Amino acid sequence: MEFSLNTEQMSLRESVARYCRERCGFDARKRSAASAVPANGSHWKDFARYGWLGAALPEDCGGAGGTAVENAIVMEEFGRSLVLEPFLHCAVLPGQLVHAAANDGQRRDLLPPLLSGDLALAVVLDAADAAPTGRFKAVRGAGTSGTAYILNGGGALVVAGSRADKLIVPACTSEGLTLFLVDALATGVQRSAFRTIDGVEAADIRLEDVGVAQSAVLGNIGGAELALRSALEHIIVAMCAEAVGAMAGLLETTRDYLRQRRQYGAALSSYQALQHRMADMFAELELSRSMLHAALQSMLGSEPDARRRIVSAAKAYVGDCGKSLGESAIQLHGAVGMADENKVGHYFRRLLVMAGSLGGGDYHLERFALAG
Amino acid sequence: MRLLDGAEELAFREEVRDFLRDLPPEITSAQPFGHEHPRATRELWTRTLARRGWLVPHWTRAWGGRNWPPMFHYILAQELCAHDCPEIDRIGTDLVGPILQLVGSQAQQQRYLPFILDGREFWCQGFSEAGAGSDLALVRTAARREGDYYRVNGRKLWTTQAHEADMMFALVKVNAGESLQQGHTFLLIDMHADGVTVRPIITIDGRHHINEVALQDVRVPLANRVGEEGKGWSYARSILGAERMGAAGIPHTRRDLAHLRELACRMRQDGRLSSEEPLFRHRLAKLEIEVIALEFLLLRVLHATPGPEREALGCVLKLRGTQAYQRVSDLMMQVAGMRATALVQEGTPSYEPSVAAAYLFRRSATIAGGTSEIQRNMIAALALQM
Repeated sequence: MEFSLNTEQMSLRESVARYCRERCGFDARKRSAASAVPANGSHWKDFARYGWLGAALPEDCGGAGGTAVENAIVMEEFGRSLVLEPFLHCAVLPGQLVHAAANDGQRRDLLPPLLSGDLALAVVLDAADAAPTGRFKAVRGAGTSGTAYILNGGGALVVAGSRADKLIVPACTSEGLTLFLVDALATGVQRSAFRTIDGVEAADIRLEDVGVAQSAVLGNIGGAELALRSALEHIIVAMCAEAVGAMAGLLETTRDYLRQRRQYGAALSSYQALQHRMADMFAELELSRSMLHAALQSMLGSEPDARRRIVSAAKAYVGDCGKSLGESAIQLHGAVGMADENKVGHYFRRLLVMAGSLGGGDYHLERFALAG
Repeated sequence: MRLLDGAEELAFREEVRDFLRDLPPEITSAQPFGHEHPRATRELWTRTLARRGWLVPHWTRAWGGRNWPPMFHYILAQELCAHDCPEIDRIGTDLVGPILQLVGSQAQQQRYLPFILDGREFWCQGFSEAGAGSDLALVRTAARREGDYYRVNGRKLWTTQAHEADMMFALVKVNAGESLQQGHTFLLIDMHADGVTVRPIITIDGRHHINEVALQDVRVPLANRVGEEGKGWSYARSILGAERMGAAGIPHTRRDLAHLRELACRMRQDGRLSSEEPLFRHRLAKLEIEVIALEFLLLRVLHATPGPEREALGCVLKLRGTQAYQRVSDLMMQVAGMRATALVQEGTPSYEPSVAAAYLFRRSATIAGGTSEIQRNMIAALALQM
């Protein structure tokens, strides 16, 4: 066993960290998060150029040939720097889903433009869900061109749904769960864009009698279940890494605040009650990091049932720790923590949203318990 | 980053399991939950492990150590614990042995290490006193030089297993004229010597684990001083990290989860098995996840390079590991209900006397080996520079 990163991994971490330091400052983030319009996407092109979008995809797909570990390295740095770009939902989830579900031709069509940043793909799952919940249904159409299937459904809060060029819709058919590739501008596709409280772009997506051709089926009819499960495991673990990075950044921010803030003739960092609270936060961070390691181990292994179980364990644990650490950080900042202009609140809201994304603590705890 | 078990690790785990399967019945007869094996069994077990070369793999090569990767130590501890093996004398193997190899004299190593290896001598740790718990600077047990001996006077308190011990690893202060030296000195004290009196202290579980040890004019040869006068603490620091990790009790907590599940599959409330109660399953799941996180943190610490960060993580292990250790017995109490609190004969069917005893005694887990409060102080200093 070896916990330290190899040379390539250290190089990846250093590149991402440097990029974040130099190009993803907090002030720019605040402006982005407050803006009604989507970002200009310049960061996304950089991510593509550096090969980060395909960090965990095989080389024969145009990826960098890494694993869940490489995604975790990238996401930890993004978490620490509160990067707003939807790497999880526009790179990890669609990339892994296309890789797992699509046939060779579709992979060749979709993955290169996805990884070069030329194609924006979003998977139409509700942000809170760890599995599709029957929001979308597909029935066979008249068969005339473009209407092999008719899709209906809605009520999905889709991260980065507003910027997507194409949507991957998991829909229930009479033959089982099936993935459909839908043009975002197709007739019947309704999107209303907004931001969630952490500043991240999202869209409410509704499909009303959207007709698609046979070729829109990604992979096999009724064959989406396993591919979706695999892709969701990837994004959940990568999100845990983002949460660990955010917790680390927040803990450091809080420590720095306590050191410079003086009341009653002493720096707050000298008060034992606050030192103890910070020590408990450190414990939560490091145990979360260890849970991430457990999840990464399961992603590298070859036991799907064990992986499903441990990924749920990690999401439940890291999600709850992130929220708890965030609450403590606000408390330790006093009134300063309540002001929107300060970084602590931004970290907290991101950790809060992550705790409820892709299945909350109770959902994953139940899934872990049932699998045990 | 390499997280999967290699072929060697898998093979070693199989080897350990084979060894455990082939053990003679007098060693493997499991004690009821919360009870220790008798001394004779512990000695036999010590010799059995030593013969296999698995008693002290962390010692120097000259004294039986192995050049194992960290994972092998972890696997051995996990498997032995899961099998409910007798407890070896950890004061001997993990404190006295390593310190003697580090700074002890040749004569001390020759005299004491073989008797640790064959289980003939058991040790206790004499550090705490009435006035010195977390703050060992306040130790007042004094050693006055008289010719080839120290004359030792004082009282050690809360001394675990002193009533079974042959030797004490004692933290004292040498007299400097009328006052005491500032620094600590380590002495190896014969528990059978004149002037050593052991008085039991019964703990809230009603059992005898700890003691008060009175030392009245005890003569300790100068040759039994470990290292130099006044330098004791600098030697201890290097060993304390390992002690802290052991005190975290993670393999024990993992083993006790199995006991808990077994109990939950037997106990009913209002006719329903605890194991089928949603609330219980929820609490058990949370605890199981915490133990997974703790195991991976332990692995990370075992593989980390020495330094303040590793030490801080060791403190996290102790802080949170002991809480998880307590939490298992807490859940057992909840499952066993009043069946746990009845003071009935051991082995009375349908009563669970040891569950309450374990819960009560384990309140000490967050106190001994460095209190949780001290662990938090250390984390703040080492990891956060506060």
